[in-house]
Amino acid sequence: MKRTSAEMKMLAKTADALALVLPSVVLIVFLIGFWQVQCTVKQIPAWMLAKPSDIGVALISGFSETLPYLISTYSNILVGFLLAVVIGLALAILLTNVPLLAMAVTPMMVTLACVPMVTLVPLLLVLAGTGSTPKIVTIVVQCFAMVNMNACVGFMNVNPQRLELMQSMKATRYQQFRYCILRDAMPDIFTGIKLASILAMITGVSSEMSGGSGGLGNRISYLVGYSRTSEAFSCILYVAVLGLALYFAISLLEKKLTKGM
Amino acid sequence: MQPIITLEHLGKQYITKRQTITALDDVNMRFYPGELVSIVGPSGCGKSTIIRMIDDIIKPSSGTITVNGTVYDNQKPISRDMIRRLGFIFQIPNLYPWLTVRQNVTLPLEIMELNDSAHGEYADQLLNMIHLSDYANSYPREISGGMSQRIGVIRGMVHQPDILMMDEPFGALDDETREQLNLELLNIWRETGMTIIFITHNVEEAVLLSQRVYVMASHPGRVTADIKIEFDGPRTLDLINDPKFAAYCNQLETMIGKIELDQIV
Repeated sequence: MKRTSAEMKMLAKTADALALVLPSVVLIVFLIGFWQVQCTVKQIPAWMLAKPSDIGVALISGFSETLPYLISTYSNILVGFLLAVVIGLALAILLTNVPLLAMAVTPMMVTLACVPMVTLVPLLLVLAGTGSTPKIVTIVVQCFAMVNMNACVGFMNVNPQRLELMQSMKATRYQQFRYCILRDAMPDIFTGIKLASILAMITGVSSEMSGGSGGLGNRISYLVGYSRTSEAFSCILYVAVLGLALYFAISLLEKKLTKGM
Repeated sequence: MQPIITLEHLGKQYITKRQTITALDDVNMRFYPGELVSIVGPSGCGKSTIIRMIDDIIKPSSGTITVNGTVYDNQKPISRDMIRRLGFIFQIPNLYPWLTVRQNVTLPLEIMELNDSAHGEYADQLLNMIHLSDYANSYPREISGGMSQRIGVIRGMVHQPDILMMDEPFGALDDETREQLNLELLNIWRETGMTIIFITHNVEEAVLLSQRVYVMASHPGRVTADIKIEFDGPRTLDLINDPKFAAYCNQLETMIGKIELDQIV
């Protein structure tokens, strides 16, 4: 069968894409294979370390049972993360325009970014009950400082020549921000948002492990407690997939908003 | 004829903890409508500062600037109507990487709220004039340095200003591109009748383009001479072979050189 040139081009493109992912696929397959072989040959008991094949089975058979936990955890993480982004950015705009406020708030921001907020959960449980609220609050507090600090760096370090162009056109403060400062700071803003997304995943799941009820974190603790290791592993994989999905969605948005840079 | 821009006793001091640096001292200049005037001088003589003051990017410490009968000094900010009459072109292209070529060119229209179809058409006309219409939707990083500089030039005049200030716009380009852009600039000047203030440290460029040249010296920045440049024929690259061209260049070189020598001694 003869192929048209368009078809050939598509084939070549697919081949290129395959060549790009091939090394990582080979490595992953090798590592999982090694894990499987070691478990089988050395007869490691399942309660100690689950076989990849068992984890695979648990991933599929346990999906419908895990889904409610997944949804509750991921919705907490998304709500907390989005709130953190909004608060972090809004505060960055405020701080970079009011120097006195920045001087007052910055040390607190740095401290907030350094403290592991999971430790806050048991205290918040007392204050806010065992529902979603303490978890979302923990995620917001942990993540907004990261967004805020990076956005501030971006807003403060705008290319002076690009800003001078705005001044030569007598742009208003709002115009300067919209047409120059915000766009120039985009790479820094996205650095903060990406770091915050990772922090949100970690904080979201681990806050469920440190208290309260419901969610994947709780589920994992429970499964580990009953030595159901392959199911626990499958839950961890679900978390990984959700984390990656969030990260890639942000990367896609970043590509769009920093086009040309 | 009334000058379109008058600078009177213009001064600029930078006060630091240790000392007061006088960047500009008692600068007096006049620019007449439709003139193309160059300002030459050694680096650090404050020539860029002067046009930044006219464009109200930097405030003078003393003296006054009068543009078209309107005075502005270090107290009074310049009006929005006034800024629409001024165009500023930077030493580097200074394009925004996140905007396409055409978006970069029309940026001043958006900022100055001149976003009507007539101005949009003028932007396209300018792009066509510099032969870059095909690149209208490209991003700055996809085009060459010479192309970027051309775009920087037309961005400074897309709102059809009366007065165009150019801060060593072709300084970073190779000689061939520079000569070509010099000729394009002369064309634009003849067609639009703008008043152009051109900053350069290249005396050949100043002689080729200008009707008049202000010579400046540094430490402190001040005006040392005001020289008329007159040729019989039109301004083309053939002028370079005119003995008068060489004479003007020599005269300017000597003046700038002499000032620098004086300072060493």
